[in-house]
Amino acid sequence: MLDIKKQQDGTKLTVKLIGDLDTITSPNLEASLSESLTGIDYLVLDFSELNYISSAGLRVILSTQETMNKQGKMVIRNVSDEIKKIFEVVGFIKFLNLE
Amino acid sequence: MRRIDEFISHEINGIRYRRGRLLPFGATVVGDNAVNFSVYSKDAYSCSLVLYNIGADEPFVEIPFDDEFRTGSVFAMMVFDLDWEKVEYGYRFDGPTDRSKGYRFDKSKVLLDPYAKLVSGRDVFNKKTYPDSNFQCRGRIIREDFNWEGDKPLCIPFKDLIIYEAHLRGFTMDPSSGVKYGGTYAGFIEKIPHLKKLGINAVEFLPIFEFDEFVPELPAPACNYWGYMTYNYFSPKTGFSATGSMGLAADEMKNLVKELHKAGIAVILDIVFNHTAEFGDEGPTLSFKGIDNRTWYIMGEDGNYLDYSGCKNTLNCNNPVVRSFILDSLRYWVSDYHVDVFRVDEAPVFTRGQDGRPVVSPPLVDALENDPILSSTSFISEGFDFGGLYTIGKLPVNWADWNPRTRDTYRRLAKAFPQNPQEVIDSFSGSPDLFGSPDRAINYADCHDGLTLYDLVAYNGSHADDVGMVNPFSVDHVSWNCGIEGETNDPEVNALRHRQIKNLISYVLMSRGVPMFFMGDEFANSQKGNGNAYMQDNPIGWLNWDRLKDYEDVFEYFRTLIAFRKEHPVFRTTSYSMGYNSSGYPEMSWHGEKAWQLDMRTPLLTFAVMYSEPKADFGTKEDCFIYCAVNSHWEEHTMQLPIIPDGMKWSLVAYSGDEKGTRKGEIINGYATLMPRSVMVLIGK
Repeated sequence: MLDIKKQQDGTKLTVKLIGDLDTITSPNLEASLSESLTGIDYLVLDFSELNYISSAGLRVILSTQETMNKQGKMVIRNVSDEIKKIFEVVGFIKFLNLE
Repeated sequence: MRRIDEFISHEINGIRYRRGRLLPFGATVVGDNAVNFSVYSKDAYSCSLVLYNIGADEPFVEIPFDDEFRTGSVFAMMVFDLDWEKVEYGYRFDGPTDRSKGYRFDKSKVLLDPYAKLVSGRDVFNKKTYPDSNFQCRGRIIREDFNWEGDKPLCIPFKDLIIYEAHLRGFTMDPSSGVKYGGTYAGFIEKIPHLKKLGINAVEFLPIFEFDEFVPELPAPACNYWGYMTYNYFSPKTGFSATGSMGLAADEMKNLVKELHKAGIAVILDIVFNHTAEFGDEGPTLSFKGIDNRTWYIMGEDGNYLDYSGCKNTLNCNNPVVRSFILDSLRYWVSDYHVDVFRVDEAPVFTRGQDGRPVVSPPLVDALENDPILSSTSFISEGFDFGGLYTIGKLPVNWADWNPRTRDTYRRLAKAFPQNPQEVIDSFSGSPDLFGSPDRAINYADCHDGLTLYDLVAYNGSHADDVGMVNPFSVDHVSWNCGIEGETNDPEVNALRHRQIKNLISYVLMSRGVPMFFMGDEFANSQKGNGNAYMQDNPIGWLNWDRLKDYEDVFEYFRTLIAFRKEHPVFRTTSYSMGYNSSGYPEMSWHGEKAWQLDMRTPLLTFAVMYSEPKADFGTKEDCFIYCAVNSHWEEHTMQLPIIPDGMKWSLVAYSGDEKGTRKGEIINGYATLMPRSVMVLIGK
């Protein structure tokens, strides 16, 4: 299960992910973001309550980063050590802004 | 728009499915919510798909393939709404069981898909995830996309390669490596700066396809460390991954390839298609044996396994189905992992027909030469198999060969063992008697098979009893311990060993052909005299990086000669040009203590080879001559230097007797004196 909480402040959007980002929930996040990113130039993904990220989840994060590279900035906050290790080991960390 | 062949037609225990697509083989994600499964078996009566949640002992569903799901010999099914990243899968086949006819169907077993793109069950190296009684090596389903950032295979020509053979785990497993993720793809990346500093431009990995550490002949703590026991040809070894249990080994390995390419280093994979980890009658049934035994293996008339590999079975490489499978595998590694070159273990098996006999124009070799995806991919062969078939120099132009004859010649030369002088000359020339061009000869003094470069000069033979086991493959390593067996504090012996290592690598790097050496040779890594560390997943088989401090002079010597070789195309020709070039000198000439005079009637212990490299012929910045003097004799010798054109002077590039490397650049006039057992490289310009 993944709960997606969005808070918009002008052109800034904060998205908090609660639960697991996996095969089942990744398409939901992808759809949710695609309908919200128009006009957004600063996207914050809050991972403080994200328990698990799968290969499919990683790809949604990466493709969102690609989208935001064209229209502004994206940062990921409160990344757990375990998830940071995944980003690091598979080399995705180079493409992402972790805070 | 949704395809009309993705509508659901069947349901079992809440799992919805339908007839699948026949191709591609394997498990393929379709859209967001479906997975297509396709598998081949000619002899099976029936098949079912068995699905597990990760880590579960029992499957959550087993779905039989309906008759309508089978076309020809292919079973195909599409399953919907799977949380496929958390699924492991296998197949159960039923079919004839008469072993005298080669049938091995056993419907009590669940089997690994030969086309699985990732395998679980050995997620942590040398540890079983599941007990022997359960389905052990399970297929996993992965995303195959990756952000390559524009990378593709480097296509470095054979002639320019400087190959560094390495074991992925052993390279960084020892704590002395200092890396964060020791023994993994990620850990290897941390050491790329070392390789870049050294100057090599290709890493040849010992097997990386999913293999079994557990083999019947090896009781713990020994294990199949090297990995020549493949059981899946599409999955990277998950036990080499820091993220193995998370299902990210493929991403991790791709990242390693990308980072190596960024550093200008090509990736060569050692592939083992001559046999599988299923052994013979007594071996496990993991995959091929239970899916279609008579297709996958070369069988005798009474249904027995014919063993041309030395590992109790032989893959039936020229069976049309197996041939397509091998092509699919290699295409996959090139297209999805950007692999540059393959080194084919026991390559003559590729030339054996379905009855095991050698065939003229073997279809697999022809296909590899003409395949559209593999057209810029090269192959390196280990040119002999257990059955005694020898193919060195006989494979097509996209193949090079490991050159064991040159290996032994170099070793005899280093220990001053009398041998035919022509052997020495041929070895330095790139073995014109064996190959059509010198860049087909992979020259080396050592490799993973046998003693390390240091151990060749520190041991008189192999010491393979470190885990209480007798090494069954002991051979004469043509080594010499320099007077004392093993490690010593004797300064004279150690100085000689430093020199002998440099001498051996000088032969390799100053010859025509493609140079190769084994990981750690550049800092005198030792396996404590173990000449066959295939089962040593311990400090014997791992690199001890602490030695880099003690053998810094060796490292610098390697660096110097590698850089020198890269600067001088005369070493890297694609033809045996021995005659006079535009310099007015022979391109390669041979000299004794007197210039231009070489006595071919005596053992060749003291001699020199001179290369002439005119800029007009080689596109270099200036004309030059390279003089490599070898003194393998235990006495000092003085060499008269050949006269070179007015205005040119000889200067010292590298000298194995110059321990601190302080004589680099020194001008040498007329004569060069070489201390006992040394090599000197000069440049004239």
